Amino acid sequence: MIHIQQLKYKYPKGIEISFPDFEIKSGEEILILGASGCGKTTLLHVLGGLLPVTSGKVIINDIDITLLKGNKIDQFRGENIGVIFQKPHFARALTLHENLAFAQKAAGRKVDHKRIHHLLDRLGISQHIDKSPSKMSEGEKQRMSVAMALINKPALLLADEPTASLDDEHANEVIQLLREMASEENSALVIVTHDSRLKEAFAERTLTLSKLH
Amino acid sequence: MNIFKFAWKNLWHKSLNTSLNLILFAFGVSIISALLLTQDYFEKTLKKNQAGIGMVVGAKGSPLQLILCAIYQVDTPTGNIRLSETKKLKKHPLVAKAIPQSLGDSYKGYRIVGTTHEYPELYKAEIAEGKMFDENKSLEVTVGAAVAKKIGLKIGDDFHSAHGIGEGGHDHDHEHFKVVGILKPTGTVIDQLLLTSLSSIWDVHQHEKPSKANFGNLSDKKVEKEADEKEITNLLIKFRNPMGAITLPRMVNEQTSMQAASPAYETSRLLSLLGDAITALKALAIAIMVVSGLSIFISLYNSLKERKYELAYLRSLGTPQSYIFSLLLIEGLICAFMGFAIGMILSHGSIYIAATQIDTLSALNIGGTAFNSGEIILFASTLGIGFLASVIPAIQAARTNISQALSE
Repeated sequence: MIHIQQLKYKYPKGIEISFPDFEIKSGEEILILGASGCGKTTLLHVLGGLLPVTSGKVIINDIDITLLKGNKIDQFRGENIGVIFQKPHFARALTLHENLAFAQKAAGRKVDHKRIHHLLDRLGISQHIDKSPSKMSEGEKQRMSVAMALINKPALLLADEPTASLDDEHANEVIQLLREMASEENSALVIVTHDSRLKEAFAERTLTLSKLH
Repeated sequence: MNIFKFAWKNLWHKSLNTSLNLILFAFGVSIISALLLTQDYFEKTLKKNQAGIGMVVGAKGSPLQLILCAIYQVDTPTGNIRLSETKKLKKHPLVAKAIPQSLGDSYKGYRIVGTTHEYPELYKAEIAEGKMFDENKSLEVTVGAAVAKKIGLKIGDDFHSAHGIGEGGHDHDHEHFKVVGILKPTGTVIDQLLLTSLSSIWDVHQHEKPSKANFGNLSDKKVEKEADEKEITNLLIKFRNPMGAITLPRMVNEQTSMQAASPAYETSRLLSLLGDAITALKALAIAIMVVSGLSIFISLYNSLKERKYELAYLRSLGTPQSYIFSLLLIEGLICAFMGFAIGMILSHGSIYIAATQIDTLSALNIGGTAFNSGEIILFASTLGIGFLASVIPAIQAARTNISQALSE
């Protein structure tokens, strides 16, 4: 269960932003929609423990991550949160298998080769297992970033603008994939986007952020 | 993944950058290492070959030339001295040993030294095969280990000596030297010599035209002189006590027509001359190493811009700051370590190859297989430069603002 309560973040330039309260259960999903500059990515980074908040709580599995500092938040993030960034990033010198093994080790877990193979198979990129991610197509890289985010079976899966540069067909494919994978792993899925095409698909659970003033 | 393996993979992901850094580092290390080795070999060999000789007496001329010729067998003699004049010196109470040398001939570029058994004893030379030349017989030769190996001389072989100390002198074809013994290797100059009795040299040159004998220093009159007026090239003196070093050189230089030179003094003079050149080269090599350190720094620092997203992403996976810091530091240290290793292989390898090709180096016992204690300091300095070059990029990488980096 994930609870977001009275969350506020103050930008270095002094502007403070408040986010609406919401909660999501394991296996559920929410779409956070908003125009560019409304603080969507900021919210995603706060939820991912990548940015410290001014006030409020982000409770994931009964732990308020806003209270965690230093290595503790790193460790918590590795174990419980998976993030799919707008642009896929990997360790370029490592193969797909090594990247996924690295993510497992970074979360303090043992390398689970079976899980690595399972995820790559499920995402249809197992043929690239011993290649560098830089040798894959953009679509394959995006699938790989899904695999990286899910490798440690996170309680919370965050996706930042996953359909930003995709046409309708590919956008639907990606959203379908995220939903399926999050559901299979029983992760709570939070998607932040400005892509109003997704509004229909998440009609039941959409939160709209208003533009900052 | 093991952090060292990850650092290694990162380095070779940018193989051109890494290779250039390594070449630069290895170049600096190899120059310093080669200088250290050469200087060390040179000093040790000079000292070893002195073998406790306190003074060399020879004809007047350059004292350094006299030392280089009499002890290290690398220069031409300053001239000859009368054997009769040296007899007084031999009997002096402060002289423990006075070993005569008669030089001037060679065989295939290796010097033939007319002397007594005291000369090989000075270098603790032992017979490997055959026997030592007979001091009272003419034309018997005992061959140094390196000469025997290089030109393949065996017991029973005979040869004509050639006039002069280099190849190309005319042959003394009226006399045949006979090999009666081969010495064990000593690691000293004696390995490069052919030893014979004094009388052998005199006998060979009795048949000579007066103007050509002993580097042209024997005049018509000299060749015709009686036995007690025979000449030698120089006399190696070992003192009975340190008082000899104080009184005897002055006595020889002031009261005789001969010259006395001190091996210790002349050698240190030679080393100080070489020392300046070596210091200048070392400074150049240190500058190269510092430049290569700067290059590693610039390379790591610039790569941070490219790797900012990657490193921030690794942090987002839960990787602690300390891991990122260590990763960058290890990359710099691996570069430095490899630069050191390649530099050492280059310096030792090239000296080894040069020693097998150039006789002068093997004569100086320079081989490239031994290590120098200064190389430990060089190793520490190399790692120090690698550390300094990578610590600032490592700190910056560890402090990367994950959110900011991944939002750009």
